[in-house]
Amino acid sequence: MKFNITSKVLFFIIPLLILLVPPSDSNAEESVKFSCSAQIAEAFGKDVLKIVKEKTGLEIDLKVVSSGVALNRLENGFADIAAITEPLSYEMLEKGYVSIPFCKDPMVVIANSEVKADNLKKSEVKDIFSGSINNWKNINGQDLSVKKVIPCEKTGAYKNFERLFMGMRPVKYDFMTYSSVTSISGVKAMGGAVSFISHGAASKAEGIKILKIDGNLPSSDKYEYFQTFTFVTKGKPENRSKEIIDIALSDNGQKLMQEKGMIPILP
Amino acid sequence: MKRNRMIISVLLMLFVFSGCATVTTMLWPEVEKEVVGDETIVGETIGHDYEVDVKGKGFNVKSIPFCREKAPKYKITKKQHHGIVFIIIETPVWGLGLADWALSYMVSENSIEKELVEYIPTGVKKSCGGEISPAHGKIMIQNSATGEIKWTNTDESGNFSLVNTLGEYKGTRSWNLFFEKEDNEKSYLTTVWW
Repeated sequence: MKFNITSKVLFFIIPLLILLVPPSDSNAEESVKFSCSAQIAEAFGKDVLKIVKEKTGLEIDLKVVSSGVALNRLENGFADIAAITEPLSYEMLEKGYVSIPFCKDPMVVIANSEVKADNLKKSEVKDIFSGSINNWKNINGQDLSVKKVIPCEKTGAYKNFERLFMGMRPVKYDFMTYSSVTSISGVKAMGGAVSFISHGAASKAEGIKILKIDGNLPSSDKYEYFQTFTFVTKGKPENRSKEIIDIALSDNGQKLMQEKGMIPILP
Repeated sequence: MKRNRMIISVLLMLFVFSGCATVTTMLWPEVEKEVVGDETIVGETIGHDYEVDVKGKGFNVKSIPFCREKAPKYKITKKQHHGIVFIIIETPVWGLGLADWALSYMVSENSIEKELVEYIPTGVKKSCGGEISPAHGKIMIQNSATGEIKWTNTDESGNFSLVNTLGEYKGTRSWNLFFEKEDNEKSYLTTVWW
């Protein structure tokens, strides 16, 4: 193959010119990596992050996942702080993870707004989700088949529901969603659908209704079914993670929780 | 004959292109962009950080004022390089392309006008003053597993003990310690096993 002199010169000159072009200016801001349960992000987290941003100018890289995945991300160094909806195990505490419970939120049973039943006994909730009751007419509702929509097993909502309502009975379902918050959309879209989620996430949603349990609404003092929301860090929280925790526990943070129907854990 | 004419045409064309990058760069309107500078300043005091040291069998709280680090945001106007194609064509034959490139670079660099717009927070906190040990402050003690809350107070030197509140040390439960500030807001101190 023959190369003339021009091709040879171009061969050397063009890369040289490309190298000489000055790089563009960049200013990558530092950020805190926050893995947050979908229920907490929906109920509370996104608003708190706005306050953190306003107060500190801190950029927050929010990743909304299930509680189980949020913990995995923290463990593997993909997050600086996690917010989960289930208690941290004693084993994790012993390993050096720090758990800071910051609020309680009622676990509620939701149904499509067309469902006529308003109240369920705890035993009926158990019967619905174990597959013993399959029609709303059996529990003071209309003749409409019950469609059970549940979030996947890795979510805190699933684990808390199993712990609070099901005892040892396995949960049966018609539809499973990837995240707990998506189950709201499922219930809204299907007549006769029923699911469970945190009150904070469900309180502003349209097209669904929150059912009383044993005659009590989640706002009642007699309501018994709560999830505890917890911040978790690998080791003691420092700098940016500490700021998120301090702001969540501040008056503003607590006010936000109360507005969403959640109960701050601090006095 | 025909070949000579072609060579002359090419050389003439290259001659005409000489300096085109510089001229194009000079004639092109300036562009404007905002950049954040690398240099930083310590801004206003925005609060206090609280730290705790183990002191004998007890703890000592320290309050350290912190300020917001800020970086300048500039509005920069400059003429951008143009005519890179001319430079590529010129370079093999005349070698003048490099001079054209250097000249157009100088034109671009000389046209830079930098105006400070404002100082913006970088998201970094800087300590900015001497530390003190807050006297008679309230310490909130939270059970890591259950969220249960207990309280104790610092003495006049910022010291406190957990014995009166949690009993003798057993090391079986994890507790989060917070300092309650004057505005009732809480600041995380540390986590201990007691």
